[in-house]
Amino acid sequence: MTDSKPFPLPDLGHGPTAPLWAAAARNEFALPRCETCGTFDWYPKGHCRKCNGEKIEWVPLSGRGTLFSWAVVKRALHKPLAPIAPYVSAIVVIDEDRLTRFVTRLIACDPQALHAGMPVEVRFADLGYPALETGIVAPLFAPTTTNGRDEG
Amino acid sequence: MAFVAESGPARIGSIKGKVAIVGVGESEHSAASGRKLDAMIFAAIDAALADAGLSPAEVDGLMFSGQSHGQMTVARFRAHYGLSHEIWESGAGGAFSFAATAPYAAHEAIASGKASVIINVHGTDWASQNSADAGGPATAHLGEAIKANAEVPFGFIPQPVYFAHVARRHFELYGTCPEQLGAIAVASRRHANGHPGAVMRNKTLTLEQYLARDPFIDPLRMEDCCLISDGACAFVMTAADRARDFRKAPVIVEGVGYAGASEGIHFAMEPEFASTPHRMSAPGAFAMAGLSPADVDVLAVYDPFTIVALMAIEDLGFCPKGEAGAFVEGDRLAYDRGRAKGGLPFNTHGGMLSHSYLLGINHVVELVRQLRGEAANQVEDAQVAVYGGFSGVDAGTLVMRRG
Repeated sequence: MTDSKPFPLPDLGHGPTAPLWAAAARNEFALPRCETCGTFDWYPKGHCRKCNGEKIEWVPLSGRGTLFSWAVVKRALHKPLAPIAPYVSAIVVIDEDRLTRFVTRLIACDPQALHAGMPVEVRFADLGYPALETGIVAPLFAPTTTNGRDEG
Repeated sequence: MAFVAESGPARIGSIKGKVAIVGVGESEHSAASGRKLDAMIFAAIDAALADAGLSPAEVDGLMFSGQSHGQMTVARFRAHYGLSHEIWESGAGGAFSFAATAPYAAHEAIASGKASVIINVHGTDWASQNSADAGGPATAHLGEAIKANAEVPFGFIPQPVYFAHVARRHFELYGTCPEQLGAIAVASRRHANGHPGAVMRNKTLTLEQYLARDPFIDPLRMEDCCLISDGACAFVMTAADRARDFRKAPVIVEGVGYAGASEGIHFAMEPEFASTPHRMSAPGAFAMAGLSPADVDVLAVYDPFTIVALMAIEDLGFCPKGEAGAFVEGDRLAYDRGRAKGGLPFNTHGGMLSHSYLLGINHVVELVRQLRGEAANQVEDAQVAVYGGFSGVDAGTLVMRRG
């Protein structure tokens, strides 16, 4: 079963990634992990890349991580992405595993003040395109605020 | 043997001195032109055959990319030239890393008696496709399910966005800066300005102009990104021991290497993120040739972005990892500086940044001309040349010398 959405929205019926979006809709950041040895299965292979275990379970995470790299997209090359430009595309490393990266977008940040290794945390927000309200909540990230929570 | 992009270096038996490149040819290169892919491919083949002094009837092997759309097939080759003889074919050729490894597959065909005169050809009409919004370089990425559902929704598409992240990571790890990426763009443009076949032959670029451009996908500027072109290139391979039978001085294949990345098309997940598989492909090629980077007179690397060319220079071993930024500054890469004066003549046709987006097969054509001494921007006494092919998921290294 698929719930096909227009580019660039995710297909919420695509099995290997559907739980990511289902979790985000509950304001949870979750990734798949091997039940046997604890290695994260991201991107999903459906079996453990370390121990070959076949029991993979989606687990909720702290939503904390560090910035691995980023790009400030001032001009989107695909037209449907234009409404969110300029935006900060980013790859973060999750706190639970320094070898696991997550592709996301940074919000609430000063692009000039970013540096590799800076603490970031998840923020749940509507993807925001092609229309402003897509009804799809995404795990975006922002620099960690001093007390670790966004009070604003 | 068809090379598969599995993680790590491929084990390749030596073909040192076995294969010669005896003809090169290309079509006109341009921005979106509406020209038919087939017509460009046949123009390149015609030019390569003329260069070698061959007729189509003497060709008994054809190599192309089995993964790219609209490439040559034996059926179309026969129909075009009105031929009916047996022709060996292989989809393990074309451009990218396979422009480097094609001589290996050619050697297998030659050694087993399947073919004796083999054309490797590649064409692209991505410029026309892009302007018609029908395909282009991002197609394979958009069609991959994980990327479509876990990257594209965040805006992590297409390749300039990926490689802006790679550049930023390289900046953060090694202190590389925009001026250093700009040095590659400027050197490439200067070479294109001196090359009559280059798409950017009439457009100059200074470092000041480069820096004044807005980094539209920060830290990348438009000048950090390759062209999108229409065109085709071809080269003719044969056994080295009969290479003197052709019109031009032969170029001898001395070494071939190949290696795959760990995470394939999922560039964001690659453990060695600010690096290329050149680091695993090059050692085998140099070992086969009995040469080292210090012996190379002219280098051509697959350059979709300045950052990829910069990483290739260090990953191929021309300087320590992380030091290519400082290495490429000034006129280090200029064709007329040369190794004796501490330079490294690099992409002397302008590369994909400024010559044409022929995915690296144009780089091999240029290096053959350099080794013959007939290049537009001729490197003085060029004896050894290296092509570093790349596709994101793999790298291929080709070491050649003047025959």
